Amino acid sequence: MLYLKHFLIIIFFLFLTGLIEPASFNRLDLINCMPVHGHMLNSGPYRNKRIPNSPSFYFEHKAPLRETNGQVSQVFSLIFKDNDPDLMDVYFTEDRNPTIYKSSIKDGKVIIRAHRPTVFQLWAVARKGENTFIAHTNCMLFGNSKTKAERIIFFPKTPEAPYIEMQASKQPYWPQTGQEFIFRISSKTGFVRFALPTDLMVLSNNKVFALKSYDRLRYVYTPAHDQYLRKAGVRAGRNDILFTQLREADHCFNLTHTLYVHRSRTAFENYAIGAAVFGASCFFFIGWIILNRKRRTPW
Amino acid sequence: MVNRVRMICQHISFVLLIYGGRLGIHLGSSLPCFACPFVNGCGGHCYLMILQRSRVGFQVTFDYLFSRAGLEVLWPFVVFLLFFVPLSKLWCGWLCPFCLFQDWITMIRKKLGIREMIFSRKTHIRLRPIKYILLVLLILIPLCIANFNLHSDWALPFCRICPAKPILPMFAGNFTHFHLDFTNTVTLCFTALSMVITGGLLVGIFFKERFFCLFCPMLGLMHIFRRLSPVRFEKDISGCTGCGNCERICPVDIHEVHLENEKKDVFMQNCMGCMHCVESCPGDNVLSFKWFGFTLFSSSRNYLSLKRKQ
Repeated sequence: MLYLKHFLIIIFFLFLTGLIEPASFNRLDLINCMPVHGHMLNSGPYRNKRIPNSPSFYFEHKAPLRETNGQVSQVFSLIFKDNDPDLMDVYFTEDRNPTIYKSSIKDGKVIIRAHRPTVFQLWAVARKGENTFIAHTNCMLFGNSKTKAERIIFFPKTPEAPYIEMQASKQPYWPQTGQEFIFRISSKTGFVRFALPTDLMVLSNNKVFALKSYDRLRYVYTPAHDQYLRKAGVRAGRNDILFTQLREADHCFNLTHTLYVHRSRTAFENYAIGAAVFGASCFFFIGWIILNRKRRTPW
Repeated sequence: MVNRVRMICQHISFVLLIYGGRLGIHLGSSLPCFACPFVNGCGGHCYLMILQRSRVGFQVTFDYLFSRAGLEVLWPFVVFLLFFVPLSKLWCGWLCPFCLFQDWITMIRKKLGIREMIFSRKTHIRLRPIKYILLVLLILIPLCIANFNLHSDWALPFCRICPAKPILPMFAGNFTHFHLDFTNTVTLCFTALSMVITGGLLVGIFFKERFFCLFCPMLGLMHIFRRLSPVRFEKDISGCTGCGNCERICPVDIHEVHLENEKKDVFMQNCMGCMHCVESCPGDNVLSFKWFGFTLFSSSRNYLSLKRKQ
């Protein structure tokens, strides 16, 4: 009996450290990893003749880093499949402030720093021949420093360039798998002069899916749950790339938006089992106390 | 009389700390009592949560901790001291919402006529280090997350198993903390442990008055810094008859107050300043709570006889 108790404690500790997992977990993962897009056209790899099958220019989020002066920095990798663009600019805005700031690119990487809690919107514009590539993303950094982050005001040459914009989510906290996100093609002026594409594509976990526009202006995307994210921890994220192509005369705009999603905070919570464990625990301890109760010493 | 005033204070504090946020009142995040931040619209947070957090708590790298930015870890502690110093452990007996919840459960038990469970002195001595072990772990685990790649799902380790987390939000209509989280094995183990601990402590609270206070790391933390506070609990050894009323009436069965015959200071580590013992002491000025030398309340033969008549 004594050895059984020790054995159970060791097994529990191994579970707690994540070193071993019950087999049923993997089955649960398989169920929860099924795509949950509400407006998806295909469930498998998608091929559209008009839109390329993979994004060619996009941001990739890296893990944010807290610096010793209290600022928080976030590194983005700029992935560009066609090398050597003729022109490349990266700029960003802070919160709802309309001022546009320039960011420098070093070795294909962009670093954004925040000294206070800030929501950033980033754009990267590259040109090659008659192709314009516009990557967009947003992120929130919780800086807390008296040392202000340096900013260089910038006047972009293509402020009217269209991009894939994510509408503010009603869900609290950061973007999570299983939540619904609404996207639309937008431009800084709020006016889109281009014929809208019929499909918006998503590259997620090396699979390409197509999203249908439900009112010709907006697209709904629900990122699928991910076994890796579930195991990796609360701060781990996944880069889901939304992309499409717009054409105006001979000019072609390749748009991408990087959605950095974290694992769902509530999707895997089971209230019935929780209540059952709580109830079983209560019954166990009531029984244990009644059986082992000592009478109060008469004074 | 004192007990009635204490209950009134506890109820006012409960309303303030559980519903205060809905009235626009927020006393900050460094309160020395179990004001749970998981309560929607609460009026203040428990300092233990801040201790475990990143940036303002101990979930930071050693580089950060020993840099200028590391002073941010010190700031909530200063605020904690500002709250703690004037009242010391009276926070527990007079203002803690979770203690009031325990008192309600005890009242139900007494109404039902069920006898209290008793622990031997040996058991009490064995249980004492648990609160300090929990306190050390809730500092060490966040440090290990930030510095030694411990899985990030270990973040806020004490909050994950704290019984106040599922219980107190119920008073704000939130029952969602009674769950098992199947995200991964770490979250599953923590939530299962939380449910087992909550169930066990709830039963324990029913059968033993102030049962959770025997394990409360906040009480341990406050006991470490009790000397900074002007609140003193003193015993006049020459006047003590050794009747043992103080031990019998004590909700956490402190026997040292009864047995102490050398030191004046009897503010023991499990003592939360409920003043039950002072009320029940038949000796004049034998037990007294003092604040900067000024007597807040002291035992009196007349008070006890009046109380018995009531």
